[in-house]
Amino acid sequence: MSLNKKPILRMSYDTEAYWMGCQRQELLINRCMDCHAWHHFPRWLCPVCWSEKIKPVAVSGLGKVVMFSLTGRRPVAWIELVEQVGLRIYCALVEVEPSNVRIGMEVRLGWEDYGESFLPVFRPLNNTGASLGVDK
Amino acid sequence: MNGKVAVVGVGYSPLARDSQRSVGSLALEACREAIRDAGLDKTDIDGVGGIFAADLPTVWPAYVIDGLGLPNVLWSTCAFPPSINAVVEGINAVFSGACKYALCFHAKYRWDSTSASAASDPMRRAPWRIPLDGSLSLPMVTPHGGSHPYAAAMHQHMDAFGSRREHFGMIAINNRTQAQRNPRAVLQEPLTMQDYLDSKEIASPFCVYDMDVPIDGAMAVVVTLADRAVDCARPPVYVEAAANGASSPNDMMLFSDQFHVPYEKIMTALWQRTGLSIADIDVANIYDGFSILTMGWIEAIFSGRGEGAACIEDAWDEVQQQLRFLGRIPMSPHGGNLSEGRLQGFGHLNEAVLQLRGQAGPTQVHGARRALVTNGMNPVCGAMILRSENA
Ligand SMILES: [Zn+2]
Repeated sequence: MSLNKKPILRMSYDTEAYWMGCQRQELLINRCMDCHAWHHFPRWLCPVCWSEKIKPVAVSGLGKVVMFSLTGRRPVAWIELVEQVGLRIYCALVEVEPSNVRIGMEVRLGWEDYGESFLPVFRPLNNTGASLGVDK
Repeated sequence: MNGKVAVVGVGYSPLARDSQRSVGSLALEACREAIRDAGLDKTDIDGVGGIFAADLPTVWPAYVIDGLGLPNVLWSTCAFPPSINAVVEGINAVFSGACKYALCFHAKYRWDSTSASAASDPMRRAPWRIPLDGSLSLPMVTPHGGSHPYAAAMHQHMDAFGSRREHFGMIAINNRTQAQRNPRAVLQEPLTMQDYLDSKEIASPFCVYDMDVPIDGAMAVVVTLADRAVDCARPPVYVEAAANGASSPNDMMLFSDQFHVPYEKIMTALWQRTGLSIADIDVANIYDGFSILTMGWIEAIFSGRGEGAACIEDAWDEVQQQLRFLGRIPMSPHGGNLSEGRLQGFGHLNEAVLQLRGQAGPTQVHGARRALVTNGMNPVCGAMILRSENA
């Protein structure tokens, strides 16, 4: 297994592909090659059928806000990805006023440079994203 | 328990010094294998018990419940080590009716806090740290610098009772000899008394062979009531009795004179609860996190205080390079924590189950019908007597 051993990222053998995808600005979510169920966070086996034939697969980056919090310096949200009901990722929301965040809001993926890695962020689907340097 | 509860499934992940896998993956694999071994599926498991790991972080029961997608869990807990405590909890849970099938597991990993070599591996960086000081006394001792309390306890035993390094060497060599028959064991190269005596003392009189070998690995069992056990896939292995406990005073940092007390209390309880004696035991999987702890258990089980060295000499088979207590009882056919690897005693239990099913493969003790399993040290330890369906 080739490891890009970044000093700050705390990756495990289960999360390595996710983090390496982030560095390429590619959001990889684990998918079962037997029953095709997606799961997140990354695990070694499929929680549905117990197969260990798991592959990190790039997702569309489309989803909707199912929960959000406004206590931090900017909104964060639990986002359900369109690939599967219940498939959630936790990310910062950008390009939206906190008072405008809504449950059910459609969002799409972008990336922010955190130094040692890019990290996924989401912004409202209807934004142009012009202020974000990177768009997938 | 008197046979009212049985172990119906055992599971292992691979055991390795460097698994090239995550600790979570090892936990999930061991648990999946234990459930499959029992002939059960995810909907059957309604209890999950884990162990709070001495090397943090712990893999919580919730991780396993989530990772295996267990939909029906009504009971879970995370017990203090050693490993057997999770299984004692699971036994109590099925006995009380809190759940029907309890999955009990432990996962160990060479985290960056385990050793210098692990610290240099970026894949072993613990995601979070929580200080572990259950005795609330570490600040009273840490200003005085590092120590090795088990080396000090070993020296004290030698001083008080005339035991010698050779006696501890026989414990280490027995477990290595046994491990050579166990394909799972991490350490399999032969160990001679000369190797042992020539080994550099890490903290006099204690050498590397006196301590268990840190590994990546996980193990699991499934327990249920005896009347359900007969419908499972494997021959049930019945729990005759289980006990865990501690003495007072028990502060690990001060090493009071209570060294022998918890072992003796637990063994007395097991014999009283079952009406059995050592004559009824065919295999003894005796805890070996450190060889001095094995000495303590041997004295509580076989010889009485201070007589362990003579007992070990009597049991030593020079040709076979192993111990046979009372001329027949082998110790830890899997190789124990010293050689199979450090699962904090879980391997002792799984091996006992395989032995009593007659499924221990190359390590099988012919005709084994009852096994004694011991785990731990003062202040927390536990033990169990198991029997086969033929006993
Ligand atoms: Zn699947």
